[in-house]
Amino acid sequence: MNYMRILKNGLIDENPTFVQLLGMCPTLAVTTSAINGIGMGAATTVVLLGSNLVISSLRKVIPDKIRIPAFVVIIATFVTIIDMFMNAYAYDLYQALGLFIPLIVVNCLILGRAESYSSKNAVLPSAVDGIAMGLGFTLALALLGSVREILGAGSIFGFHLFGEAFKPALVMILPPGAFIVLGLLIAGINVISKKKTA
Amino acid sequence: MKNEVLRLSVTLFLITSIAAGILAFSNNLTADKIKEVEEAASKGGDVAGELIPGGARFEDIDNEIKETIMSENDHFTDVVKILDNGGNLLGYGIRTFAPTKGYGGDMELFVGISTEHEITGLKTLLLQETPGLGTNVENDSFKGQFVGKDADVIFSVIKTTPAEESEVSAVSGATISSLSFTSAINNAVLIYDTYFNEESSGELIEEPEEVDIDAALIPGAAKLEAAEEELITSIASENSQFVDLKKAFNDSDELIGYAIRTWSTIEGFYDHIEVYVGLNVEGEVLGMAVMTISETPGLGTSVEKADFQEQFIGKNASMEIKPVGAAAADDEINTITGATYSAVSFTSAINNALKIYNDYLQ
Repeated sequence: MNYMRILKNGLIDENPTFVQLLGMCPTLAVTTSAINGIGMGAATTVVLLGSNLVISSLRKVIPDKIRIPAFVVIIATFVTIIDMFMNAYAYDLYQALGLFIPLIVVNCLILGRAESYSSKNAVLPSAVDGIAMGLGFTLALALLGSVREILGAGSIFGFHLFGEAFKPALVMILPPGAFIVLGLLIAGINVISKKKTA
Repeated sequence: MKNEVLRLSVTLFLITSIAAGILAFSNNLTADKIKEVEEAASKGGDVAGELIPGGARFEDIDNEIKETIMSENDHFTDVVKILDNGGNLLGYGIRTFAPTKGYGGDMELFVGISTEHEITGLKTLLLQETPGLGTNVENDSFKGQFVGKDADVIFSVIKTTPAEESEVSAVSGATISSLSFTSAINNAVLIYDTYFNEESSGELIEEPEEVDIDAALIPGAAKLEAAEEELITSIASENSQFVDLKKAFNDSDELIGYAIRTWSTIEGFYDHIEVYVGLNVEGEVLGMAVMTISETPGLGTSVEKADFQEQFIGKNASMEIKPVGAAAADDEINTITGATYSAVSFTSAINNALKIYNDYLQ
C-alpha cells in the first residue's frame, strides 16, 4: 500500500470538506476564527485515528448487518473517553476545545471513513487514512476560519491586521458568511482541479 | 433465521457492554481528578489573584449571609472573601448569573470587588454566546471598561464613545451579549453595596415607594376598594400582564372609576415596567403611577416625569395610544428622546389597562 497516496488522497484529492462535503454542520458552525478551525480539526483527527484503528481491527468480528450501530457505539465511546481524559489531565486544552468534543460524535466524516475505509482495510492503512483525512479536514477548517476571521474581524489568530479605521464585514463571522466563504472556496478548488485534469 | 437474529443481538449486546465497561472504568479513573481540576479552576489561588491583584486564596463566608442574599436576589450564586498571603481581607468575589439573558442563554460571572469598593477583576464562568462575536465580551477592550471603576454605579451600555464613568460601549454586533454581561456586573455591584459595603446605605436602586394612589390616580376618590375576586381571577387568567384591580368611590359612595395595576406588554430597555393606571367609569385616563421600573436612571426612568405622563391624561379606551416622534393625532404621544424603548414599554402598559377596561369593565 502506498501511504503517500493515502495521505495525498485525504489532504487534496478527496478532501473531506471541499471534495466529499462531509461534516458540514461543525464546519460551518465553528469556523468563526482560524484557531477555532484548527482546534476542531485537531480534535477530529484524534478521534478519527482512534476510531479507524479500533474499527479496522474489529472488522472481522462485527457482523455486516449491525455494523452501523456498532460503529456509532465505538465512536461515541471514543469521544466520551477523550472528553473525560482531557477534562481531567489537560484542562487548559479542554477549556479551549471542550466546545468541539461533543460535536465530533455527530460528525459524519468519522462514520463515513469507518464505513468506506477502515471496515474494509487493514489496521495500518486505516490509521494512515485516519490521519490523512483528519489533516485534510483540519486544513480545510483552518482555511475557512482564516478567511472568515480576516474578513469578518480584521484579524488572524487574534492578531489585528488592519488599523482602527478598518470596519470588518461582520456578516462573515455570522452563519451566512460561513456559507458564502465555503461556496467560494469550493468553486475555486473545482476550477483549479479542472484545469489540472484538462 | 432465528439463530441469526440471536447471534446479531448477542454481538451488539457484547459490543455495547464492553463499551459501557470501558466508559465506567475511565469515568472511575477521571471523576475525582475532574472534580479537583474544576474546583481549582473556580476556587483556586490563581482565580483569587485574577479577581483582585495580590489575592492568594478564597475564604468561605458565613452561610447565613449567603442564604439571605440567595433569598433576596434571584441571580446570585456564591460569594467568597478574597485574602492575600498574610490573610488580610482584600475584598470579595461575587458569583452571579446575568439577570438579562444573553444571545445564547445564561451567563455567569465572578466579579472581584475590593474593600475600597473598586471593581478589580472579572472572570467569566459561563458564556454561551456566538464564538467570535458574543464571546468578544471577554476581550479586554470590553471587559476592561469595568475594571478600576467604583462599585457604586449602575453601568449602562451605549453604542457610542462613553462620556460618563457609568457608561460602557457595547461590542459592535453583540449588543445583547454586552447587555447581559453588564447586567451581571450590575447585579454583583448591587449585592456588594447592599450586603458588604459598610459605607453605602444599602439602597443603590431605590425601590419604588408605594404611592398614595387614591389621590394620584383618581382625583376626587374617597376610597379604593378591591374589586370582586371573581372578576380579578377571570382577568388574570386571560391577561397575563394584569396584576390588580381596585374600584374607586367618592364621598357619597358612587363608583367614579377604576385603578388597574398592570405590567407592560412590551419590554423596556432592561425589563418590563409595572404601572398603576386610574380610569374614570367612561374609560378615560385620569392618572398613572409607575410601580416597578428597572430602566436606565436618568434616561429610561424619565417615563416617571410629569410632562411625559400628562400626555396620557384624557386619552380613552376607544383608542390604542401610539408613541411617535412628533405627536399630531389624538391617539399619539411623544416618546422620550434617548429612551424610546422605555416610552414604548410604558405606553404598552397603559394600552393594556385600556384593553382590560374594554374587555371587562365597560
